[in-house]
Formats: sequence, structure tokens, C-alpha cells
Amino acid sequence: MHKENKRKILQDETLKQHPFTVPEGYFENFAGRLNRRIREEEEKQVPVRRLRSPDRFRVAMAAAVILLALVSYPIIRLITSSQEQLSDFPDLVLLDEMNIIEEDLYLMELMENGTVADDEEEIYLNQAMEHLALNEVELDIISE
Amino acid sequence: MAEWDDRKILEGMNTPGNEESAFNHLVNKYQERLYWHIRKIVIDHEDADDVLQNTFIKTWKSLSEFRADSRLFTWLYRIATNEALTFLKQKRKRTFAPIEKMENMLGEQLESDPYFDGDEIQLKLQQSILKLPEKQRMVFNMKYFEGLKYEEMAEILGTSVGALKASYHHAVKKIEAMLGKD
Repeated sequence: MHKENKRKILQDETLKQHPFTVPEGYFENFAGRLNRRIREEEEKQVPVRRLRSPDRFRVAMAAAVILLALVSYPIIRLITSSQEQLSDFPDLVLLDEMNIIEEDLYLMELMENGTVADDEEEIYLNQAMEHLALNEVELDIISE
Repeated sequence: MAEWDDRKILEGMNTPGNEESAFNHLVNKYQERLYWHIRKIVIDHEDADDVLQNTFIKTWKSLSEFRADSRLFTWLYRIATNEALTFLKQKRKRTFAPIEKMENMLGEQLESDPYFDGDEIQLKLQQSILKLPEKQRMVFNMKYFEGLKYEEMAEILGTSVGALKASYHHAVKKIEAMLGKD
């Protein structure tokens, strides 16, 4: 009998109604409070960090190095490219070094192309050779 | 606010511009059920309110991870259960109280709790439930008060139906013994 009474306690349907309550309007207001909290948390997620003095100095130094590199790069490029250009044209380099004037170039071209008449050619050739020799031009280079 | 079904809620959450509206419908639909589940675990109303908010915030942040292989309700229930248990664990750490002592403290607080409206036998029942091991307490509450099926509980708690039936049976025996002492 006593055992049956014990079992009956839990079978009592009124016990199944939970005895807890909530403040008035709790569920009606819950969604509004929740949305406010979500907005607050989302705003907190991206803090704006102010740089401390040592950080500011490091950032300034880094910026200065980058600026220096940007300014100096075109200058360096200009210097190296002019040298490259000269090396692409070895004849010009040699000519530059030989300090040959325009008339000399003309004579050299004549000798190569053979556009001068035969009888005059020898005269021009001799004059050219003499001229070039006076100007200390390497005759081997010309013949090449 | 007209209630949306789960499919409409999930569609809304995955549609740019409709997320907030769909989320509000989800909160409106499940807040009470989840609240009472949480309240039975943590007992105190203010604590239950905190846990319920945490549950929905976690839901808001991770709804894109929800896989439709489980029902929305069981997924929410699982989040709420985990949040409530985590809350109790943190509360124990803050008070440096062992498990049994804290559950006893919660039972004693019920007598003076302004949001406890039960009679003497209901008070004794709640105090007896608090003496059960944590998971057994949850099984008892979900079956006895919330009327969940064992299959639903298995999905929420990640335990087999057989284990849940055994757990509930033992819980009932213990409570009957405790109530029968007085």
C-alpha cells in the first residue's frame, strides 16, 4: 500500500505542471532584449586600436624605407638601363670610345659599301686611312 | 507574429536581407520551450534568462553550419542543453562548490525564490530531482515534464534509446524513494 502511494505521487498529473514562473511580460520582451544584445556584441567585435608610441615610430620608419625605395628605384633603373643600352650596341660603344666624328663614319661606310668609283676609291681610301690613323682609330676594328 | 514552419525559417536565414526577420520568427517560435528546458536545469530565472540569450546568440552565429539531417528543434535543444550545463560548470568553479553542495544550494534557494510557485510536494519533488546526477536529471525532466519521446531525447543527448530508458527508470526509483522518506 505504501509502495503504491509512492508510485502514485509521480503519476499525479498536477505534479507534471512545472512550478516555476517568470516576470510579467518576460517572453513578450525577450526578442527585443536579445536583438539589442546581439547588436552590442557585434559592435564590440571590431575594436579600433590606437597605436602606442613605439608602434607609431616603427610604422613611421617602415613608411620611410618604402618611400625611399620608391624614389630611388627609377633613378637606379635609369642608370643601369643606359649602360645596358650601350652594351646592346657594341659598335656604338666602340665608336663612342674611338671618338670618331661624322666624316669618319661616312668614309667607313664608303669603304664597306664600295659606292665610290674605282679610280677615286683608292684616293679616298688612302685619305681615309690616313685620316683615321691620325685620329688613332684601330684599323683592325674597321676592317672587321 | 504568425508562426513560420522550420523550412521557411531556414530559407529566410539563408536569404540575404531576410536573416533578421527569419531569426525573429525562430526566437518567437522556440523561446518558451527552450526557456523551460533551461530553467529546469539551472533553476534560477536570471540564470535561465542568461543561458537562453546565449543559446540564441550561438544559434544566430552558427545557423549557416546547421545541417538539415537533424530537425531544427533538436539542434536548438542540444545547444540549449550544452549552454545550460556549461553555465552550471562555470557557476561551480566561481563558488568553489562541489557538485552535490551546489545542487543542494539550488534546492534550498527554491523556498525563497519569488519565481517558484509550487506547493510543498512540488518543492520536495524539485529538491529530489536536484539530487540526481546531472544527465539523469535532464533525462527525467525531458521525459516527465516535457513529454519528449525517447527517440527525440536520443538525438538531443547523443545517447541510445535503451540507455535513456534505463536512466529514466532509475531516476523514477530514486525520486520515489526520496519522496517516500518523508
